[in-house]
Amino acid sequence: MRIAGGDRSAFERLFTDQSRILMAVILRIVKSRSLAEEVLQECFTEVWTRCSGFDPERGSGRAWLITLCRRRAIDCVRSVQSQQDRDLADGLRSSAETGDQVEQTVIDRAESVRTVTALKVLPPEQSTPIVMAFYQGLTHAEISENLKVPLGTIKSRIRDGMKKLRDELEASR
Amino acid sequence: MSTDRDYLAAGLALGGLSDDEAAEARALSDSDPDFRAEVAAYGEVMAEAAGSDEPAEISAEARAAILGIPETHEQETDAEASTETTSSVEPESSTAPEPLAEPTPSADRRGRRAGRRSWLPYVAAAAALIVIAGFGVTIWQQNQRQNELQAALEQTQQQLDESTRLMEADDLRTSTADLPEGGSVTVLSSESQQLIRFSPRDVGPAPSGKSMQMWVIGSGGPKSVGLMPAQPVTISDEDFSAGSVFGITVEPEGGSKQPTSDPIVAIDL
Repeated sequence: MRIAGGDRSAFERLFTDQSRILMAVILRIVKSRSLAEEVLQECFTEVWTRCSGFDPERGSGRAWLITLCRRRAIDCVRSVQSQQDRDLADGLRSSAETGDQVEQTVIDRAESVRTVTALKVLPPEQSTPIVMAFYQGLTHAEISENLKVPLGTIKSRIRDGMKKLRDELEASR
Repeated sequence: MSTDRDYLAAGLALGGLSDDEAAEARALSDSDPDFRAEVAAYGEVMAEAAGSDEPAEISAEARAAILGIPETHEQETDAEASTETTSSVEPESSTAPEPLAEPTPSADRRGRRAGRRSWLPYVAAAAALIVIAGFGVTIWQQNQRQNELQAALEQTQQQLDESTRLMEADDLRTSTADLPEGGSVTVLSSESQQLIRFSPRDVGPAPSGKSMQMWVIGSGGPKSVGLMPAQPVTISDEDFSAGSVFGITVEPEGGSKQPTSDPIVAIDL
């Protein structure tokens, strides 16, 4: 709220307090560090220019920030993938080096599925679809196809995993 | 709450619902405060889970660029931000509860048919939920405030410790230099403590379209330590040695990865 009033020291404080964890969220989605820093800069630009749109009645500032970063990072990956697809279709990939750079920016599934600390309380069959939905932006149907597990089972695992995670985190507060 | 509603609330916060499910979940969120609170709670859970991850470092260049954002970007008005925010909301998920919705036409008709006494319990229940939610928000806000105060205290303590270390350093150096456009800067540094304290005095804003950027220039070349702040700042995360120089250059807005002009201030560290 202070940032919405143009308080630059509050903006700097927010950066100091939150930027490293937001960077971690973005890096899980965008493998390239330089691209992740671009996304982080884009998010903080949005925080500064449009934070008057943040409504504390609709959720916490932390949840708003993490959601913002997650969405922008997923958008970034999709944009890169889309560009990669276009390049492939047009036969415009001029060199293996360019391809490697694009490849590096695309989701690294093994990295993003690596279990987040808090999610270690869940068995892998529950944490994996949650991570894939949250960090990779996949639909539950896509997760079902990807993991070759029936959609109904994926839904149950997501529901049960989210409930268990909520219970565990609430108990630890 | 039924099984399906649990799944829809979790899915709306997490993302990944099908279009039909997302539409159903959003409708529930609009009409049912209980459901809306569930979605918000799951949103907090995912934020907390994400926040438990190992923090990642940010380069000095990115830090300088981000901290320079207030210099280079105007803030939007409430109306602009509200319009933009609404239009940018993704249909797939929302970790925040939606605002209280107007009654749906069908609910409205049901209310009229049932008569005055029938909706009174709902109003009372809604009021109770709002009060309960209010207590929850208040407790959460108190916790947040406590965390913020703790963080501020730790930051202040760190600055105090760094200042003490700097002032007690046997190799403390103090230098002051005037800027061409007026004002001066004072730099205190200690190689043994690897600390630099930068203090501007009566320094005006950078020329239009430009930013003042600070550098530590050593044998490995110049390293950005951020845009020049209006307030004193301690720099503790850039290695330097005898012979290193603290410099300030005028750069394009937002700063540069490498200096693009000669330093207007150069102080031996």
